[in-house]
Amino acid sequence: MVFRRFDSDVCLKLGIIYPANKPRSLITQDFADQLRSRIQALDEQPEALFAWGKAEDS
Amino acid sequence: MNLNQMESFRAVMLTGSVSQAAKQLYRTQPAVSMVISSLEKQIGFQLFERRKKRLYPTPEANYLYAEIEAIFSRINDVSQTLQDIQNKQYGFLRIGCMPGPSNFFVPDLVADFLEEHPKIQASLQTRTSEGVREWVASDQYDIGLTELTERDSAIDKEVFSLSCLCALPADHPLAVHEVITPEHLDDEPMITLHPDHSTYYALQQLFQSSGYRMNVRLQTRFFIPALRFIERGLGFVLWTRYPPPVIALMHSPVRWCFAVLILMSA
Repeated sequence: MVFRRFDSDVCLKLGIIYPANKPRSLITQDFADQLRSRIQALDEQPEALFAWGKAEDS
Repeated sequence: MNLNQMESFRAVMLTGSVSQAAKQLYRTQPAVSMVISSLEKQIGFQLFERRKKRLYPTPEANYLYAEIEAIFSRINDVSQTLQDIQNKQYGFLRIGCMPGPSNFFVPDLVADFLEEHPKIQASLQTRTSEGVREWVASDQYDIGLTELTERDSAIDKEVFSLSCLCALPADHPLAVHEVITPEHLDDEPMITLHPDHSTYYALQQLFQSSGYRMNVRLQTRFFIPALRFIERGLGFVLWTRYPPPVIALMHSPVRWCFAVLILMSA
């Protein structure tokens, strides 16, 4: 499988979300940091996402 | 009986002398002696018998010591808990996640996180995006990963605008192009998400405004079944990626790959 850029303005709004106006625990903040980093890493190399799924199935 | 009195009494019990207790507590001997005397007066019975400069605890002192030791043990537990909190090793993390990421990278991420934080407990619940938003809004999850709508006022959010990336079999004719355009997809049989999904409407608008035919062959509620079709070699997928630069500047340049369309092989 290969990935190619799709030339359009179509986009999806994805969010890391939290309860409104509520203090976040240190572990919530830490997990959010790692989630953000993982999303960025997958964005850089989207093939890794699909490769992971295939590896799990095999 | 206050904590200072308990601390002095406990030190004398442990060391067997006021002078040693004073050293242990970094206080003067008269200060500790005064605390013990004051305590005995306050409680109305003797805690120690003084013989030849030695202190011998009374049976009542031993009873009291057992209670105080339990209190200090609990205080030590609190100190350990405090240290764990400081080191992010204490707590329960409730995560809500939409189905796609729940099936791919999030379990891996949670596993890594738990390995790094061995004392933390976590819950990972998979819900529809709407479900995750509702549960986070009602404080039943600490954090969620979900698609967003315009009506999400009851949550705090970090928004990532994700545009499309096309995933297709390496030997597909369109794989020779670095960029896939709507023109390439004209009348190609596609698999899409369900019609009430935001990307479906946007794609429909795109095809209509471009004058190309959007040929929907199959619809799915979630991305995972669509991906299975790709794995079976039945088609290829458009994933979100790379918004225009102006969006990247506004929302931090995070773009996540995500299935939007699947085109059936010819």
